[in-house]
Amino acid sequence: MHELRSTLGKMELALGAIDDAIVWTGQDGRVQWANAVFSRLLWRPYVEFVGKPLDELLTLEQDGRPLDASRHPVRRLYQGETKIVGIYRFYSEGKDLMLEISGLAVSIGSDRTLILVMRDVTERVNAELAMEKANRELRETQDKVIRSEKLASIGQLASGVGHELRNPLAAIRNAVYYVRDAVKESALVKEDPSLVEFLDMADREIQSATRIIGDLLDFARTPQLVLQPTDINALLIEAKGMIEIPSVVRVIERLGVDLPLMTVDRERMRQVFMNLLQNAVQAMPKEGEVYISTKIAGLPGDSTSRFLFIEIRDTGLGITDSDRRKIFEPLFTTKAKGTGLGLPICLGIVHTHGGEITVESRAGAGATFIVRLPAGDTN
Amino acid sequence: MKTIEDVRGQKEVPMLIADQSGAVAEVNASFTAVFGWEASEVIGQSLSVIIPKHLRDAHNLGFSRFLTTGMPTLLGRPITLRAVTKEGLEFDAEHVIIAEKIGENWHFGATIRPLPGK
Repeated sequence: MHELRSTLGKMELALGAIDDAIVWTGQDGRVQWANAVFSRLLWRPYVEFVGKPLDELLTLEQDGRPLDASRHPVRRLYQGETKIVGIYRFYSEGKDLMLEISGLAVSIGSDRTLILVMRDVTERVNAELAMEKANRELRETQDKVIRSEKLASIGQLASGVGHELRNPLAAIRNAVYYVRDAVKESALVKEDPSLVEFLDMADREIQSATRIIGDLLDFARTPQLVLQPTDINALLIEAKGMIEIPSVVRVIERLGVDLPLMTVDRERMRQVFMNLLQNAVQAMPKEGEVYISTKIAGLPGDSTSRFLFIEIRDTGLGITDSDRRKIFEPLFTTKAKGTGLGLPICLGIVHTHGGEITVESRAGAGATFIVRLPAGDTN
Repeated sequence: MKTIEDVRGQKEVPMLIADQSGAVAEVNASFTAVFGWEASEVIGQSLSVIIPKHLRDAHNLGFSRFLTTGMPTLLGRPITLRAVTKEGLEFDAEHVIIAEKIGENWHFGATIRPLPGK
């Protein structure tokens, strides 16, 4: 008996001297014994929790949600699993720890004992998360570099071709104008009135080609901003007034009050809003609504910075997942007559203002474009 | 209450004295009334007979550690623990446990006051 006491005494000391928390329960899931590390984990004296149900003492989370009762390690062992290992978040009494929990169920005679060993792996998990975040940021930066190099080469080419085409097009347009003027009262037109229609068509197409070249040059240029304090709500209304809105489309404004004046390039930003509004309207071939809203808010996880959010939402066709990933890439378009440069130009302008454009959409469920512009610090 | 003699002097509250091996050596009349054991039945038995099954590992390990180190963790102050009668009825009781070395051997004394309504 003395020898056994001595062995048990040394074991108790050894189990109390390690860094892992150890606890075991009977088959009813109630704590029968725990070491001092477990007691410190719960921040409660031993006598207060011995005999208490272990799953109630150990409130765990996984994947950001409280653990479903049936997924609790104690319950799983109780229900027949013999060995489990998992990482759980333990949040209690001001503690926020990541615990690696190994659980074992052993049967001794008719008794079933559940043994849990818990290791604090908070530092390791945080280091892994930080590493993951750093890798993700590195990949994003690499993607941005590749994208901007790609854009730069497209830009150079576009700019060269654009300059070369602009003058011939202007000459053609002048020539068409001259011919039209010369023939409009002539016998030729009286004989065949469709001649003027063809000349008008040629003029429209030249204008369209000129617009495409303008877009290409816009895209290739690094915008030189003329910054001035601007009422963004007023600029949105102005942009709305400059686009053609069919009568079947309703525009609903939900503009924030007391918004600060934003230091932006008014012309450029109006171009962004016009483009987004035009896209929204065009996304609704029949009827629908466009909602324009503005507000000042922060970003999740950033309590110091404020942003002005401009949301343009339509109830149109929406954007498929695969298209959504490409819509800011130059030359990508879903429109029959699009150049695929509108959104990349908008994105370039917003980026030059230190902002961002994001899009939320599902095919068939409309789209929301969100322009985010930095509006200073909260303090 | 610091010595085995102090414990032995308790009449109103159930008390027991155990030897170094953990065997019951003495109980008082109040103990036999509350726990349902006759003194002759319980003396010589392991004191775990009054400890509910789920607390026995804790008792065995704690008791053994104390004998190995001589360092108490629960002794000398009132603590609330479950106790169990001969009939298997469990109840909360305020335990005050002391240890005293007499000669070469440790002796343990405890008063176990049932808590009302529990």
